[in-house]
Amino acid sequence: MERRFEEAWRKAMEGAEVEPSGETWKAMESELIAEENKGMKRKVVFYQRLAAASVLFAFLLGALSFYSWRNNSPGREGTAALSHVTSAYAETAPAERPGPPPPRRGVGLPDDVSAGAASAKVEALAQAGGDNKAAVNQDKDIDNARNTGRTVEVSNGVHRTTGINAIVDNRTRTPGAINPASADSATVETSLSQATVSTPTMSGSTPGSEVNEQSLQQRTAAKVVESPIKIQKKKKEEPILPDILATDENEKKRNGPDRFREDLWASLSVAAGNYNSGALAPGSPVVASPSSSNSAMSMVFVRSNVSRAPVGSSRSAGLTIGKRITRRWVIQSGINYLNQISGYTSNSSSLGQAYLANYSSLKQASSVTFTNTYPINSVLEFVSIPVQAGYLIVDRKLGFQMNAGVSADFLIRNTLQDPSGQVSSFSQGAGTDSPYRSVNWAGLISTELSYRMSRQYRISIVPGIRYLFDPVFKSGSADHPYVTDIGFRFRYILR
Amino acid sequence: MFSDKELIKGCAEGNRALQKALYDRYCRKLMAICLRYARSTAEAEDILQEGFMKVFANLKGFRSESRLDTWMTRIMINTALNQNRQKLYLIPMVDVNEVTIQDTEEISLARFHFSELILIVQSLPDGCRVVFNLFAIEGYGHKEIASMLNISEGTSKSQYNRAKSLLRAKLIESGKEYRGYGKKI
Repeated sequence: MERRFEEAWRKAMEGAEVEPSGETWKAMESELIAEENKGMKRKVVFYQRLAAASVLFAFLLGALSFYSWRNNSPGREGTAALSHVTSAYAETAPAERPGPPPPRRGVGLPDDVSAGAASAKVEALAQAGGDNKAAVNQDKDIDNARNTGRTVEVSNGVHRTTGINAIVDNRTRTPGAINPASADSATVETSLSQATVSTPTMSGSTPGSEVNEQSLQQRTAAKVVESPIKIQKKKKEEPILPDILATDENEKKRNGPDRFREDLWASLSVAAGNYNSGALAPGSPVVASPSSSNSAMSMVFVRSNVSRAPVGSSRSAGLTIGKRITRRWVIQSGINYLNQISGYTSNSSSLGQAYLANYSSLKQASSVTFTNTYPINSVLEFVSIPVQAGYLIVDRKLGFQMNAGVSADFLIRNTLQDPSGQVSSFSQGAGTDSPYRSVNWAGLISTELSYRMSRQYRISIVPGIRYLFDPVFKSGSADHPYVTDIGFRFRYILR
Repeated sequence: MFSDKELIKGCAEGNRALQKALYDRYCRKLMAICLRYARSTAEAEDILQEGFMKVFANLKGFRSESRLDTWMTRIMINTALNQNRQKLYLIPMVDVNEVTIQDTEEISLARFHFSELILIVQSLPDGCRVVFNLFAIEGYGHKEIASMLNISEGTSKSQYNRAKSLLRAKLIESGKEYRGYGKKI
């Protein structure tokens, strides 16, 4: 009886059908089209952001590679050798210098000599010859060393040249005596073009100088035509940022205020990567020596037999707190422990016990005794407090974020260890007597690819770069160590 | 004539013709449901439109565990509830301790046209209307309704009793006999 009322209503409503107005489908169709377009636009925005992030990441990698290449390229060693040569040359009395004064860089022909001009010079120089070329041979060696970066050693006032410079010597001393077997044609052309760099300073009556003038005119004309400076009309670009902001607004409207957001989180992180202590080994005890002007002291430690900068490893672990400040921007901070290891070789008989740890005693270089070289590890330990701002490029279950910020790294200690056990380890902390800075400031750039496992947890992979604004040592080096690492973060979402 | 399976597949792929076919097949039945939950025809059409958009968006996830029309009806009801949710907050959350529904009379609504009944239902206050639809027509229990609307079971019961008394009054007002299976007493 109790259900009679309901049954009556259910029967009355059963199988009822009402025709909706025709406008309903039209409105629905428009909404379907709009949804499809929105989906397309969302995809476009996503790919735009992904492309922008990729370009930025590629740029950072390129910058890092360039920095690394610049520090490790043979050109740096060549520059060092060049300064050696020029200093030796400067010490020579002007009266002892053969030939005219050395030509200045830039006085001669431009470096980017075309192959055609160089070939013309091959023929011209093969016919010309002349004693004046031999007279300026020594200057050319130096100039070539400057231009090519090849090593030129000076021994008892006699120049010994190798490679390209040797070809130049042969060519200039013995006109027409180019031996094709000694170098390939490209090398010959290059060497000859370099050889002619100094010729405009010679007597203008020589046939060679005529060729130079002619080729210079050709080159000048070619430069006018092929000038790399091109004025391009800047194309009008679509504003990307307002578009992104508009999309954010749309997403905000769509998602509403109740959508789940990660506003505050704490994460545990570990990272490992490469530690590059700088081209001239600022992390090495050589640089630790404040008395680098003392030649004896500079022998306390020698670098390992590698031509590139010393590369070690870096490890870190820490706790990070993150807070979302706007829909896309987050700020993160925390505390990390850093451990940076780099390896060197030493020939000091007493590893650091008397010298390395004590900044002042480093000056007493004369008391150093030498032994066979042995490897040592330099372990730098820091407590780091980073502050980073992050921009959420993709904020979904799968997240992508760019981070940039700074970090204050407080030195705990530096430990020098001999893995072979010949000498005991030694540690040096921060302080006024320490050769190490107490606080180092570093720039941080990283990307964070993350995946939300549940409402509470998110894991992420964080490849990044840490670049020290100052050398680790108080003096003795101007190079900046940097770390490239990959981190793993486990995030607990608080709210 | 497309089968439900073909319609589902085509709609999931975004085929506009099949979307229109699905709409044409079920829109009248679903419109009748929407009318019961809405205050007006325009509001019912809004619910229908939003409900169909959800249907098209979620058809990929439809696993044929239930009938397609049952699944779509559930979506329409949920859409209607979401539309009414704001208004439902206005329902006085007063628990009625013991509500005894003394209802022994036999009624018949055969004399009423569907549109008349719909108008009577639409005239109910929002809370009463929703609870009446869920309990009397859809067959949900008060516990389920309380859970769905985030109200207490007592509130659901009291809302239903109020709906019942209001409906009786409206039926009497209409001047048509509804007692005793349509027989005049």
